[in-house]
Amino acid sequence: MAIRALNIGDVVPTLSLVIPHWPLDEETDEALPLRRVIPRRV
Amino acid sequence: MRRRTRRCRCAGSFPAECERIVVINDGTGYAHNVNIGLRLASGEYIAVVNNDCRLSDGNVYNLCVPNAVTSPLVIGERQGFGESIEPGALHGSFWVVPRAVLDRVGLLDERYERAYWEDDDFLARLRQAGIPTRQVDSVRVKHIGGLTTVKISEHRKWLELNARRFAEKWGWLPPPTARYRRASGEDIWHFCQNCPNWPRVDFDEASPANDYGPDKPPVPPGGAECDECKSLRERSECAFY
Repeated sequence: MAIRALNIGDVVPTLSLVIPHWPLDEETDEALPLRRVIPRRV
Repeated sequence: MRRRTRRCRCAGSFPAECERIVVINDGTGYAHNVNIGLRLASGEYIAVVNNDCRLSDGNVYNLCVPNAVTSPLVIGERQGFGESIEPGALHGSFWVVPRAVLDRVGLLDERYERAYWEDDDFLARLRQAGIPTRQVDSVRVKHIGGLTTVKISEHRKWLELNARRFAEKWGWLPPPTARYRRASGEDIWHFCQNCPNWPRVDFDEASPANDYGPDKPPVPPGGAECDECKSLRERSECAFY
């Protein structure tokens, strides 16, 4: 997998991931490390 | 005992420095749910990623294109589940929008209750604003599809209701989406963008010949399907058009 790792001096845009999640989604509930709304800057 | 199921590893497939906002749909609907996340996001670019997607290859930052909305090449596990609303460009399961574009066109329209058609509406507003959409083939994403809304028996009613809302708002409905492509003069229809024979110049496009759905695969519009495309579909390596 070639996801990018940052190196010192790299200038990259900041990227936010918004992952909509359905409570009934049993298949993926198990695997996701985050399962709650993260109240950032509320 | 808890049932063991297929793993997705959506959030974990992205670079560690990306801000992650997981928003739970508590019955308020997809558009409202996504909008909560869009308001919380602090990045210059925001990726809206269904939780049954995971980044499989490529540099996700190549999706960050100024003044355009992008999607990766989405490789689906199951035909008929979670297909692109704009083949070769925008895919509703994974799209990246610059904050400046969001500021211009606004968030998702929450009048589309529960799910469906909010992405078509967003695409129509992008068109209206003259903002291009683009597929970045070097970034690849695996999409399981069909894990959420299609499990709910009422999902077809949601589709119909929100289609009516779209038509009321815009006064038109999109034509049937082309999902097949064949080289001019050929009989074989291709449906996988990963196919080595995928026609890139001088081709015809057509929509499926039937009203397909999760339990009813699309039928090519005449002629036959490409064997290589079928093989890729069987191996879950198909980038459905």
